[in-house]
Amino acid sequence: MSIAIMNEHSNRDRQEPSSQWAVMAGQLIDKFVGKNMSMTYKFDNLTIDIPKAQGPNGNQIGSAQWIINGKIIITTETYDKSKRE
Amino acid sequence: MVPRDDHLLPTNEDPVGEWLAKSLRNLQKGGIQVDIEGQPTAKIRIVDNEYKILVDLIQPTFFRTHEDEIGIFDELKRAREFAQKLTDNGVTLSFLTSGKKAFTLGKEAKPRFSRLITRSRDIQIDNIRKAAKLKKDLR
Repeated sequence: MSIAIMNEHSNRDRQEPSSQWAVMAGQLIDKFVGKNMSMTYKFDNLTIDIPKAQGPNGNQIGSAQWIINGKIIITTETYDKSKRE
Repeated sequence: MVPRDDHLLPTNEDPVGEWLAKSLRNLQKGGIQVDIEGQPTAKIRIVDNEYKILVDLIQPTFFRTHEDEIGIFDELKRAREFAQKLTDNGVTLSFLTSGKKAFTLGKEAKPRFSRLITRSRDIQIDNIRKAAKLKKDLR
């Protein structure tokens, strides 16, 4: 293993956990957004409990339950910006 | 009960992992299917009101990150910390391939031999072959 690679690994080990999550999320988003692609999310009775929260002036905002059904389709398209101008 | 040494770590060390573990607890039931280019790629199912989440990676290679960067669960240390956060929040997260469990993190993980590998009581390898294949596919 070269010194450069070893340094890279030790730098990575020192990365804050939060930035590691960010790097990982960034890579996945890049992967899905950076090309012509269609992604479909099908929600089947997805039930989410929204907990109580404290709003402005310390007001209590009541809890809620969200139920999500349906489909979201996200399509991405790449194009050459220089050819467009 | 003797507290575990790792509980002495400050909880704000990984706020994103903390937030994610807490958010997963808010999922009550139902499911999501993710299709890419019309092909089923992942299915997420939440077992009714049990805080159990099953993630079936039908095409795990879609979730592969760059080879020279951080793989999803390549860094076992991070997986251990996240699994402990899941346990602290009473959440169980299982990863499946082809409908079969590969490994489980969090509250209901019951590691036996796998504890020797992971050094965590919050990670259970359900199927060593599936887990190894999943790790390879994600890398």
